[in-house]
Parts: sequence; C-alpha cells; structure tokens
Amino acid sequence: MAGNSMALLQDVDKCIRCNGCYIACKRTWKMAFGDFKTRGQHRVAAYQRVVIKSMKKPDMGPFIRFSCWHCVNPPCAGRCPFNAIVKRDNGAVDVDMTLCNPGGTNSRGIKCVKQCVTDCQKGGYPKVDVGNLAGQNKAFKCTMCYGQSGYIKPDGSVGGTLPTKAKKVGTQYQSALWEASSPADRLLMDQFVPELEHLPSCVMTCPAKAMTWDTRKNVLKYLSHYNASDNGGYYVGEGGMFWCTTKSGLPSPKADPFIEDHVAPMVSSLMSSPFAAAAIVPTLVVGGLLALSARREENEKEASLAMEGEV
Amino acid sequence: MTNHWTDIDNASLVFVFGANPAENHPACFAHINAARNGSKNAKLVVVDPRQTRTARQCDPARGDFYVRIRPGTNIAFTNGVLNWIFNNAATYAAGAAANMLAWHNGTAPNSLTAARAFIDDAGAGRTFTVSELAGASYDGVPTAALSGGYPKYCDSRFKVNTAGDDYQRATLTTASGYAFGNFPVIAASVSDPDSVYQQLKGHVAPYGALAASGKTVAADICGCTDAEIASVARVLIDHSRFSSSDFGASPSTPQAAGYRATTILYAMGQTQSTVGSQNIKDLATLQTLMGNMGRAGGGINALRGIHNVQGSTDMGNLFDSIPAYSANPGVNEHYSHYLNALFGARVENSTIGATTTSGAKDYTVLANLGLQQRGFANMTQEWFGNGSVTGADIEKLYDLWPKGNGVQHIKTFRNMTLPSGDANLIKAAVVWGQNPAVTEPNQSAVRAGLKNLDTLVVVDMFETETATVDRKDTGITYLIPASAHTEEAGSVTNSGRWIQWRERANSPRGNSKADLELLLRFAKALDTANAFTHFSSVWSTLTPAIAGNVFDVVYGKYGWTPGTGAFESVTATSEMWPAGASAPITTAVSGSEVVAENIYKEMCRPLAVLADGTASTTTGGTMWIYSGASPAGGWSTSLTNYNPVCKTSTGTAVSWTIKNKAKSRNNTYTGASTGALGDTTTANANANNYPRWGWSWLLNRRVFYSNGEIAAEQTDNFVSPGYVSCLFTVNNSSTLLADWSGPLAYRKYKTFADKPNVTVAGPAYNASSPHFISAGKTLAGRFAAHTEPYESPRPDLQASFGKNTSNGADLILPGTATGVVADFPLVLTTIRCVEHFQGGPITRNNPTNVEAEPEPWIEINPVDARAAGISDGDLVNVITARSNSIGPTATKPARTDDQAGRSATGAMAPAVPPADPAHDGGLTFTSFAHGFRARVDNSIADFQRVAPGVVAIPWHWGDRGLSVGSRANDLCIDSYDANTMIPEYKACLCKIEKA
Repeated sequence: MAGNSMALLQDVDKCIRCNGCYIACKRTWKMAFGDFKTRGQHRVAAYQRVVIKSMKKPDMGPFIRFSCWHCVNPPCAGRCPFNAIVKRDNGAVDVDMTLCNPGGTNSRGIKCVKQCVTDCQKGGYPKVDVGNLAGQNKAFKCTMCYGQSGYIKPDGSVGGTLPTKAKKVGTQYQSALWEASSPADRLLMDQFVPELEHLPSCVMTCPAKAMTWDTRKNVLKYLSHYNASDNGGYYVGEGGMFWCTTKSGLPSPKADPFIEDHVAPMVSSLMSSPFAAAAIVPTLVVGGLLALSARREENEKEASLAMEGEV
Repeated sequence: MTNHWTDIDNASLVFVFGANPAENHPACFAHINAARNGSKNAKLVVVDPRQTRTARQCDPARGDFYVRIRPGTNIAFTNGVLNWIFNNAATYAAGAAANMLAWHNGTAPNSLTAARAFIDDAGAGRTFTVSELAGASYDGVPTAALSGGYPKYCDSRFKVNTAGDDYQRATLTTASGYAFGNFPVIAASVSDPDSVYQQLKGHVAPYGALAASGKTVAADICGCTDAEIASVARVLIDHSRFSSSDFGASPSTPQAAGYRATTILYAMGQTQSTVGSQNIKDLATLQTLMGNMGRAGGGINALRGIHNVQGSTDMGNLFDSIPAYSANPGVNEHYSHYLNALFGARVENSTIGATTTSGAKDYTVLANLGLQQRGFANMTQEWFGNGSVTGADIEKLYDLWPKGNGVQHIKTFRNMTLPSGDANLIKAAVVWGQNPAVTEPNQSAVRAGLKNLDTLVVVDMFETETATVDRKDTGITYLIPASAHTEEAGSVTNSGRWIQWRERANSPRGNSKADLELLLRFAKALDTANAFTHFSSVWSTLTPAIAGNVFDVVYGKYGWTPGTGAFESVTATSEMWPAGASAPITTAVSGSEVVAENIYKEMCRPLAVLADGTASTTTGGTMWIYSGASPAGGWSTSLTNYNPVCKTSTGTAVSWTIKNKAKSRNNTYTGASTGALGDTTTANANANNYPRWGWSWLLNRRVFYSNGEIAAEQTDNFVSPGYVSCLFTVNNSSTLLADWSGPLAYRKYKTFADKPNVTVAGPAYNASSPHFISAGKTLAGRFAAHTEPYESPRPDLQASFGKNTSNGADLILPGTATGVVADFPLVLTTIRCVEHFQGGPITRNNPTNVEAEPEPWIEINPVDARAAGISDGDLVNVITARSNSIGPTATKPARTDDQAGRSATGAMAPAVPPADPAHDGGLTFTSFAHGFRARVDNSIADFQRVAPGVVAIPWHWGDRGLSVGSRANDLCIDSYDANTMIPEYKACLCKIEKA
C-alpha cells in the first residue's frame, strides 16, 4: 500500500486516562475479556493492544500510552520463521494472519517458539503476543487499525474504513499538526493527508484530544520543538508511535506498566534507547528484574494456555 | 451552565471546585485542554478534598495548582477568598481593584444602562432613560445615584434594610413624575455602609479573623493554609473582567491576547451537601462580584452527571415542580394567583381573581400572558384538554392539575413503611431508569420501604438491585424491559442547555420497548381502567364541551395508540441531518422517531402557534424555555435567520435550514461577531459559540446574561427582579413579588430556606458572629454562611457555626442513626470513576467496564492505613453509625438470597451470577459485600489522594451484575440540602478496619 508513512502521537500532558482508547480498541477488534480480578494488568494479544498507565504509583498521572512502537526496524519481525510480521509502507508493524502459525514449523524445519514475543522487549515488555481471537490462534498486536481499512482482519476478512473527525478542506483531509504549526514548519510538512480518511479507533475516540494521527514526517517536525531550548520537555519514540510531554521535572518514565504495578517504589527508571531493546536490562534494579522474570513466566504460561486454546 | 461546554475554550482560568471532569466528564477535557494549550494559555486551579486526576493535571510550571480542603467546607473557602479579595485586592493589583470599584459604582464604561423598563404604579411600562433618572427622587428626596443610568450588572449598590431581610425600599419618582412604589433604594456608591457590597464584605470578614490554630477562620475550617486561600484569590483577580484588556469595552474581545475570564466548573462536590444550594450561591456571588458573568469563557457551570440531566431538570422531574421550572400549583390555589408567580405579566391585584384594575391583565386571555405563564396555559390546554378552550373555561382545565408537592425522595421511602391507613402511606412505586437500591443513602431505610410496597414496578434494561430487592411475601415486583438510549430517538438537553436530537441507532432489542411506547401503553391502560373519568366530567361542563375518549384526545395526537399496530411500525417523513453532512435531508422515519418528534413539536413550537406554523389564540408551545415567543424556538416552520446574528462573509443571513433545531448540525459557523462567521481571528469573535449547532434555551442564547457585550450572541440581561444579578437574597415575604420589573420581567424572588441552628458564633473565634452580616442583622440564607455537615469531625465548629436547617427544621429524618467523631474518627466521602456510571446497571453489566474496574475500592491516607493495620490491596470494612460493608447478614444478602423461594410465585427468577470464570475471574462470591479494596496512597504527601482523616469510596456497586461489591450507600448519611433535598453523600463519619 503506497502512501504516507503514518504515526500515532500521544500528548501526555493532555491525557486523562479515561480508558476510551483501550475500550475503543477492544471494541474495534472484538477482543476477549481478561481476568476481572487483575485490575489494570497489562495484557496483549487477545485482550488489549493499547493501555494507558500512570507513570506514578497512585494512578494519578502523568499518563502514557503503552502499545507497539511500530519500530523502524522491528525486532519482532526479524526472527519470525514465517516472515509473518511485516513493516508496512504506511508505517504499521503488522501480522499477516495468513502466514502466522504459532508453534508451527516452517519449510526449513524451524519451529516457531514465539520469538517475536521474546524479542519485543522494548520498554521491558512485549507488545505482541499469541492468543485466541475470533477463533484464530495467532500473534496479535496494534496494527494502527490498518486491518480495518484495507488489510485483513483476524478472521481473514477485509475491514471497512473507520470513521474520521479530520478536517476536510475542499475534498482533501487536512493535517491538524500542519494547521497548528508555524509557517516555517509548514513548509516542511504535509498539509493534506489522504490517510486521515480514517482514524485509528484510539485516536477517533480520544475525548481529551490527546492522540493524533498524522504522517510520521509531520509528527517528527512537530516533536522537534520538544527540547530544552524550545517547548521544553521531551518525546519518546522513533517508529510509528510517539508520546511527548512538556512537563519539566518529570521523573523519567518507568516503561513497563507491569513493573510499575508490582514493584513499588521503583528506584530506577527505564528510559529505553529507541534502538537497543536489550539495553534495558542493565538499568533494572533487582525488583524490576524479578518482576520482569515474573512477567516472562506469566507470558509463557499464558502462551501455553493459549496454545491449548484455554485463553 | 450559564455558559456551555465549547465556551470553556475561551477561558483564561479554569477553576474546578467540587468536580472531577478528568474522570467524570472526560469529553469536557477537550475544551479544558483547548483553553490550556491555545493562545490563552489558561491556568487550571482545582479545589477538592481529594486529589483527583483532574487535580493531577495541574502543572506547577504553568502556574496551575491544587488546594485540598476538608469535605463540606466549600462556603468557608469561598468566603475566605472573598474576604481576601475585599481586603487585599487594592494592594495586590491596584488597577484591577480600581476597575472593580468603578464597575460596581457604575462609573466604568458600559456598567450602566438606559434601556430598562419597569411598570409604574399606574400600570404603565416606563423605560429608565438617562433623562428620566437624572431627575429622580426617593420618597421626594432627589437622588443622584441613578443619574448615569440604571445598574446593568448586579445589586452591589442596592441598600440593605435594618432587619437584613430585604432591600431598603422607597417610592422612586422619575423626571416625568412616574412613580414606582416599593422600589429598592440604590446608593451612590458601594462605599455606602448599607450597600450590598459593604454588607457582603462585612459578612465574610469573620472568615479572615484569626482562629485559635493561628490560621484564619476560613483556613482553620477548611484545613488548608492561608497562603492557599490567598493564591486562589489572586488568580481570580488576575482572571476577572477587571484584569481583562477589554475592561469596559462592548463588545468584549474574547480572542484578544489580554482577554481574561474565569470559568467555574462544579458538580456534586458542591451540591451534595446540607448547604448545597448555598455553595452554588456563594460561587455565583464570587463570579458576579468579579464580573465573570455574561462573559465568554466565564460563568458558573454545573457539570451534569448524565447527558440529559439538564433535560430532566427542564422537565421538572422533581417532587416540587412541573416542566419548565414552574412550581406545582398549590392546593386550593387560584389560577390567577398561580400565574402571577410565574415569569411574565402581572395578572392579579390584591384580590385573588381580580383582573381589571391597576394594570393587572386579564389572565383568561392567553395573549396577555408572558413567557412562562403562556407556557403553563399551553400545558394546561394540551395536557388536560384539546388545545382549544377559550375564556374562563381554562380555569376548569387548571383544576385538573394535580395540586401540591409530592414527597421528597428520601422521605418517599420512609413513607412506604407508614402504618396501614396512614394517608401518606405509599403502597406502590414505579421506578423508571433509576436504581435506588444502590443510589440512595442509608440503604436500610430505603430497602425497608421497598420491601413493604404492595407493588413495585421497575423499568430498566437490566435486572437491577432494585428489581431484585427483598420484598414482603405479598408484594409483587414487575420488571419491564426498557430499551437502551441508542434504541430510541428523541431530544436530550446537555449541561450547556443545548437541545440536541439523539438518533435511534438500532431497533429495541428483544422484547424491550422504547420509553415512549411504555408510557403510552401505561396511559392507555389507565384510560381503559377509567382512571381519567375526572377529565370527562370536567370536559362536559365546557362551552363547547370536549368530546371523545380521554386517551384519544390527550395522547392520541402523538401518533400511536396501543392496539393499533406496532409502535415501531409507525411511519412518517421527516428531516434528518446525517453525520458530517452540511445540510439536512428528508427521509422516512419510524417508531420513536415519529412519536418523539410529535411531542417535541408540542414542546418547542412558538408559544402562540400550532406545529404547522399557523397562529393560535388558545395554545402553542408547552415548554416556554424551549419555545420562545417568536419563531426563535426549538421548532419553527420559519427557517429565517434571527438572533444571534449569523451571517456569511458576504453578510448574507444564514438560514437554519431545518425546522427541528435540535437536529441542526451546522458546525461551519463558530459564532464570530462581525464579518464572517467562522472567523477565529477577529478579537471580538466568540469563536466557540456554534450558534447553528443544536439549539440552546432560552432563544438560542449560548451565554446567559451577556448584556449585549458578546457580539453574535443574543442580547440578554439578568432574568431577575430589577434585571440585576442578586448578590443578596431577599427573604421578606411582603416584597417577594417584584411587580416593579416589567412588562415581561415581572418575576417572583427566589428565596432560600437555609438557617443555621445557632445564631451566635462560638467563643473560639474573634468575631461577633459568622452568621450576622453586621450587628443585629440575622442571616437565613441572605449570604452564604458556613455550617458543618450533620456528622462533623469538628464538634467545636459544629457548636460555633452550627448545622444547617430548613427554617429551623432538621435536615435529617427521624430514625437515621448518626455518629460522633469519638467513635467514628474518619470523614467518609463518596466518589465516582471513569469506568462506571451512576448506580451501575449499565456498566456493571458490561464486561469491558468490569474488566477495567472490577471492584469497589477505598482510598486511604498512609497515616490512617498504618493506624488500622491496613496495607495496599487489603479488603477494608467501612463502618458508620448506619451500617458496615461486610455484614451482618441482614444487610448482606448472598447474591441469590433476595429471591430465594420466590420463583414459585412466578414473580421473578433468581439472578444468578455467571459461573463462567471468564466473567467472575475465578472468584467465588459467597456474598457481594466483602468490603472495599484498599488503595493506600504513596507516603509522599504530594501523591496522596486523600488527606489524613479522610477516606473515599465509589458508590457504583451493588449485588447484581457481572461485578458486585459493597454498597457505599449502606454507609452514607441521608441528611439533605435545605432547598433541593439532595442527600449529603459527600461527608459523613466512619471508621475502618481490616475486613
């Protein structure tokens, strides 16, 4: 699919964690319901693909988005024996349901051990996981909702476009970031973005208008002002998902919501380098390591249950 | 709301006091974010007992801040702020303080008006022009106080009488000799010691006195610091009309960089108190004093809990009112006497029923009646007749109105258990879309009442706690399946008074029915059972008599009669405005889309025309606030442009293009002032007005009380006696009817019933008395005064400031157990969360919501948690004088106990929770009430949600649905507000222990 490389941006300063994105995502993708007694626990695959978590323990914010980063060079894709995980032209890291075969063995005799889950550790936890959804036992993840607008859905059908609230000028959809930018910036940005014809359901639903859907080029230009000499603050992300904040004095985020939930207080932080997923581990304190390993066990348990069709 | 949601974008300060929009009104945060991130760079200030997620949105780097106060101390805080402003504004901001005085003195530009009309003693309307007022006198003594014009803003210069219950009054004679008896005396300046301004200043002064704690009285009561009160006062001065770059200008310039306005957002944190009405009045006083009323981005704005709460208020769904803010007609009250108290024309003299002398108009001629009066007459014609009764016959239809007030809702449940034979015994109840077995406080009394009913009818989407409540053996419960709101069409009115059409997305599922179908079926069944024979007997005495079956005459006109085919099969053609379209289309509609619009036409068409636009002398729109006196109503066959001016860039007036204005979805025009609508750059454009989106009552005013200062907004004045905002509340029964405003602004004063149960302040404070506005003048709601909640952690303050009463009567019913701080050391306050809705039937039956927030919790300060041996994640039993959260069994039925043995009677199958582990999460609930899951705050004070001594619990849970949990309202006290009767959900006493 030719066109712009797109990106999702969450403005941390505007997010109020209303859970609208999480619910809209679940509804759009008709996901399953988890275990009611584990409030707020981050799960992926068949349960959720985006979750908003507080950077601080009392769940009062700042709230940041946890979902697939849609890496430029996604580690999850590289090890798939079926080449089922692909970085689309539009920026989405997507799973081709016709190829994904969890636990299967490819033509060269290489067995799938769900290496995508293991390798996707950016931020300390995987954003792709295997589960049973719509009768299919596959790897699932955020696809920027492209499955709804032309790519195949989990059941193999092709979804229709999602609605949009983007501003239309004449017959063209206009970028809100372009509109909000200075004339100098605009020269380097896309004004009209055909991909705004649909919004990912998380963006569409966001009542606080904290989420934006735009070309990656526009997002990066907009985020270029998030530095000490300009707007202040910082941003995180390099692929197709970003979040930003102008808050000063904000503790660096603990990137793994699972760790945040279960290890408190977390002394260390986990500002992961965009490119080095493995570099996270040394920054973990002991508690974080324990939690991470607990998380891995949990993942494995879930995955094995999923394999047996029990989840 | 005096303003509206999108107008929040215009604010330069968002002052959230007693609300939590981040969790409870998430969509509103788009507008708060727009104000904060737009050119205004608006500040966010939050005052709340709990550090909510809204409070955590405050960014100190931007000048935002949060102030924590003790539950139930809002008035002390507001009065402390007022006191700081009165005493320190001149030092803090000399320019703003000078503007403030000039504004209230009437020496600032545009603070006076020469356009107000009053009815003189001869009954003629007279306009107070500058020349008329220049030669005016009070009781023959010339006065210069009115020489520049009449005050257009508030009563700050009006003089208060010695008794403190009314303005000083005298006969005002203008230059031409027109006399206005009993007219308020207006002082030359607010320096006059009798002026409302000085009286208010004196009233709030004791809140600035030093308390024994070394803090001011206000800070001592609230548990905050003096610096915090001063901070709020400063920021309010900085973001008032008086600090705005357009001070004194008309029109105002909301898009200008220096424009300043404060919007106050409030919700249940203000209302759910024994002084709820006074809390709101105090905020209105603050906003009026600071000039923020009638301003784009200003006003006092109630965040309603449901999308149509404003609509339900408009419809008068309360025990003491009928639709459109009219009181119930009184028992044996004459028609003319009743009409005379409604907004409109004077139709009665001293003799009830007399119509012909001293300017009173003949009330039997509908054309003589003013807005609210005509709406009432139309209701009488349409709901009790056939819309064509003439002359004095309308009095006979008036007799068909139910008379007198019903029972306020807390007492309703008590009246269900009265002895057999008691005239007030309630034997049957229809509970329609409510869940009182979760939502009402002091559940044991509520459930005792529900249990004793002979008949209980519950209309709901789900089998609620109320539908399954424990009932006496002979009691019969009916559960009637209602459709979801997405399955029926109709109009809803949002917090900002915008009436918007809600489309039907799907047909009602299964056997569920649209509310309108159910209502019409009820009416038909009552008619068949001869419940309406009193109509027929009155109708036969009319000239000419009204013939026909009562249902057919009164209900048949809405387009469906039970027994004549399926409701959903009724068809018609109507206009619709498809999503995203720029114009309406004409299309086929059915079911509720047809019937709801027929009713809408009756409510919203102009007051003197029929639905087809033809004139009528006997009927017209029934909801005066929705219909208006001209084509400017919510339904009109005239599509012509009218105010607010709405023009294209070339000056062409913009047509509405659709008769049903609630369906209008024109978002092209944002509401600019001059030149092009949609203009967002002109300084005096109110670019967030959207005057063609939906329709807003009254007369499509988006911002109330604008006084013509907001370009492109309908010119408006304060709708009160004298056209001014009243800082002071008159309570003198002899002058309640203000017959000196007119011809259409004739209106009764609103009074308050509040009266503290003490009259002298305690010795703890170095003040003569907080309940005296000045020596010798007692207060009963004239200005807001702090009183303690009925269960207070500060017995010393309860002794000195007292509790609120309704003119001396306790605001709690006999039989409610109350506790003292020695036994119950913590303050319990109730909260809501973003995942669940009200009493919970909708969200606790929705797996997504349940997954996100599966059980009720309790927020505890680490100090209190440590003292009680409670750790994060423990289950906590909360105990009040009324009940506790885990037992005894009588208050903790197992999930299926309520209906045990009842299936044999055929009444209702037990509600069995799903056994599917995917739903119950593997937990086996032997009881719904296992306590509240502790969320113990971080030990760092900045991150603590509640203060030491305060705990907070959500009230959404009960014993039915996918998610069950302890009911907060087993615990809450049912003391209530003196005026609105809303329960005091926000403050009672409790203790906690590990469950």
